[in-house]
Amino acid sequence: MATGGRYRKKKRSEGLIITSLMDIMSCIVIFLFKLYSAEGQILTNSDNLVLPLSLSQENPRDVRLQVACTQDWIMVDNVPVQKTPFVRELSDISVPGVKEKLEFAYEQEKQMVKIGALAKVKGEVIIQADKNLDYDVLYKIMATCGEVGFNAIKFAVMAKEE
Amino acid sequence: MKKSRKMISAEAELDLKPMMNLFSILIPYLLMCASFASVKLIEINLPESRIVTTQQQQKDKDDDGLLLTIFITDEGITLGARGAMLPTTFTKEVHKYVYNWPKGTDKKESYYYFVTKQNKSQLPMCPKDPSRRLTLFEREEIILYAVRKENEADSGAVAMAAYDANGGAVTNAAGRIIDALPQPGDTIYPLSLEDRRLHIVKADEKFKLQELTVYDELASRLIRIKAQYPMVPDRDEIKLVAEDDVVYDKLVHIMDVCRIFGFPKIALAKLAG
Repeated sequence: MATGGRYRKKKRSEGLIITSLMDIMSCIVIFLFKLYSAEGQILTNSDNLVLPLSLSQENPRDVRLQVACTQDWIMVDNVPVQKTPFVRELSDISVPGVKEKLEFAYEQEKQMVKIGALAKVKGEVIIQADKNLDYDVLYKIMATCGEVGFNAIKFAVMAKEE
Repeated sequence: MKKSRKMISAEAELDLKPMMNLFSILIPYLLMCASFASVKLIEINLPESRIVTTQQQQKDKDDDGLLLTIFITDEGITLGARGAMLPTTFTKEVHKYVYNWPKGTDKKESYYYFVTKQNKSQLPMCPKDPSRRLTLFEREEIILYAVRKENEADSGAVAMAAYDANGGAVTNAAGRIIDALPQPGDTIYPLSLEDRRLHIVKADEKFKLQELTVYDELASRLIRIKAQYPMVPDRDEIKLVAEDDVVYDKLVHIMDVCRIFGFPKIALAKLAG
């Protein structure tokens, strides 16, 4: 009697019930994809660009312009425009090359306000600087941004786990 | 009739196995690529373009503002405000390097390198492998210890302070960091702006004396300033003035301290000369 009952049970659950497992997996896959798209755009990926750790909690928003400073190059929107050692030697705080690029971006932003794509010129810029960069270079880049009109400067940092 | 219905139900069952196979490969792959470190932002203000204020507000600030400023140099950190400078906190800089050793493996070794005026321009030799120098990318952290000096000529000794079991500094009622081990029955306060709850030391609590970092010292000073001047018009603002060769990492760390301890509106400026 007992064996018969066990046998019958076995027969009923012959095919694996995959549907619930599938549900879980689709959730995980969607979650992982979302993880990517959430912060894909503001990162300049480079081997020699290590962002410093910080306890800041402010999340990155949609910002159009980004400036990246590594030990070798200054990049505006991922395009290398000026060598960092050259910036360090510079006696003026306004950096040529970078300035032209930023002016161009500022004009573009103005144009977008004209055609109504933007409410107003915000002048936002995200600076991603390598954590070993010296303040001299950083200050010149910041000053150049401010000179052109990008006054809302933000630094990108890595979140530190407590 | 009965038979045909059975057939329909058999056909409707989906074959999910190939999809399962795909998913079970996709998930480990995505997990492998995913970086869980998230990017955050620090907002700063240029000194010239202060936070937008009306002229009257700006005038108020110029007249009775605190104008709190931190000067960061190689020697130390100085807090200044309108018409007064606090004594400089001298620093001893230690760089923590983390490198792979033996070569080509994932094993990590860490090395603490004491920075002095003479050796600050060059990177240290790798202690295990004398044929190469450590690189900037292996520098993981810059630690600044506070140094107590009796006079200008004194080279000073690293200050010690009491830390609790969780690694947090403890302060007295005024917010000053305690530099001796607290005894049972003493009242102490944690080093924090919001959560300054009185705590009475129990007999079985463990404290240890540890090197005082400049960041904790700065935090303690900021708390005291905040408590002393709660009503000034520029109570949230602080200006950081740094020397040319101050490393960005150090700056971010100091900005963190300022933001957490009550001065979230940070402006950056440069030390002339």
